[in-house]
Amino acid sequence: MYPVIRCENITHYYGERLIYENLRFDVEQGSIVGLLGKNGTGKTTIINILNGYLKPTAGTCRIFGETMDALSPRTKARIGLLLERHIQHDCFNVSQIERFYGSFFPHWRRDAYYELLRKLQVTPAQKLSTMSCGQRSQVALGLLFAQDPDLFILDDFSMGLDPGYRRLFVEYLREYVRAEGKTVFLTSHIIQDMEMLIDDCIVLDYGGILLHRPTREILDGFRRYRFDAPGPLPARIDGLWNIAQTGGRWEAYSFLGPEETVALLAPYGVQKAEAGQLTLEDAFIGLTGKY
Amino acid sequence: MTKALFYKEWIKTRRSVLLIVAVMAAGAAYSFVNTAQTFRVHGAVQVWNAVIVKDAAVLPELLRWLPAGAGILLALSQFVPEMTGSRLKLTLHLPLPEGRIVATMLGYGIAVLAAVFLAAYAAVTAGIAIRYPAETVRNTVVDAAPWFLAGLFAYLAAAGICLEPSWKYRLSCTAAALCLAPAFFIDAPAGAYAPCIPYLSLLIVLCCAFPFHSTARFKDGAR
Repeated sequence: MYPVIRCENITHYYGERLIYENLRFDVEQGSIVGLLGKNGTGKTTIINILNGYLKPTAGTCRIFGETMDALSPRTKARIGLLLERHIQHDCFNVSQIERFYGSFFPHWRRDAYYELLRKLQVTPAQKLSTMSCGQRSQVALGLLFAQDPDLFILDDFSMGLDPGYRRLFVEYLREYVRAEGKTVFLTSHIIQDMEMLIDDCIVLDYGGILLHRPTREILDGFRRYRFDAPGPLPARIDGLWNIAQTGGRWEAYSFLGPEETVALLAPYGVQKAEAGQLTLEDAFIGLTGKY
Repeated sequence: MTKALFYKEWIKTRRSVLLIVAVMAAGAAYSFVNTAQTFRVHGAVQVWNAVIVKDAAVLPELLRWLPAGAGILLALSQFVPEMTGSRLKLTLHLPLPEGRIVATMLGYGIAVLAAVFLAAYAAVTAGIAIRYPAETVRNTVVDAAPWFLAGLFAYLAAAGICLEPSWKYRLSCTAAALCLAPAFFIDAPAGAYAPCIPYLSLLIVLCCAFPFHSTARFKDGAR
């Protein structure tokens, strides 16, 4: 089956600055894929390219088999797009915006919108422009669920959400997409809730993809090792990530088991390494570094 | 779906539209008061003599600028919110052909301006027809037509400039629009403007392509 999203050899520059070279990945039907990366690695850029709002220097993206610059209205109706900072048409009030979008989508679920908004302390007549960032974001997310799209593209959906609502949204989204067989492609800079949500993790670094693996594989297999070494260690050893000295002890991250890791470090006088389990956020820092 | 797009444009612009209606109505009322006052102070013979022999202006100078101001105001209230935070992405993501979305937004603006301008034009014409001979009314109508066309030109130019994503191009387009705008405001003897009106209308038709071009550049991610 053709993937819901296919990016093929995307290369993009902003002026002289390379953002990616030959970026390629697929998002399969029914999966939840998270694109994680530090600021400036091009997370929003790929969302813009995917939706046809930016022409890459080279390469093609396809959504439901259609190229990004020629998405048909029918395909657009199948894509629920959440822009960074939960931007919405804030000239409307809560009920006007529901009426507006409801005219465009055949499977509009009005009750889903009002169900998500029920917990908000807002009236249907309240204008979006007078709402707090968090309230606006909840309206934007409510509209997405009402649209009932086959593919959710969420750019930094957690921004502005308080921890309780973020958790509620993550749980709601996870149950909804599992039950309905929907596909989700999202970016986020808050990673702590992602391990509950995403099946596949794409970690972006400056210039391209650093890692693309199932989240479970990262959580189960990626470890932080702490160890003592008599002398300095090289900055790079194949199989180890982010070797650094912290508070007198050395630290490195790896998908390798403890014996293999110690074997790699043995030439530098390391005899023992303590392995620690990681959260997705720890793993992300282990892969990309703290700065 | 077109109705929903019109609804959004109305919600965005309703205050501006009401302001435009009020200002155009005030402009028309001012022209009646001004004409009546001129007749009272100088007498009908003097006024007719000045208009027919010396080619004096029948309508107050202020009316010349109102349609252009209205066009700019409406374009700003329609398209600045679309460009703020790149909301145009949301609009273009609606399940309609993108050209149709932009055409509907422009169609709304042109329809609103055309309705307000026609009403103001008809009111002003009816007002001067009470006091002036048919030939003077005809010449005044012809002379005022470019001002109303200027309103449509200003609207389309301002829409295209707002939708243009790059500030460098915005400034270039503003300069180009400012160079073209005087064509609508040339002082000429009564009725002398008549042959120019088809060309000015053609210029407006050509200007319709400008917002579409800006939207295409926005889609390409021009910076």
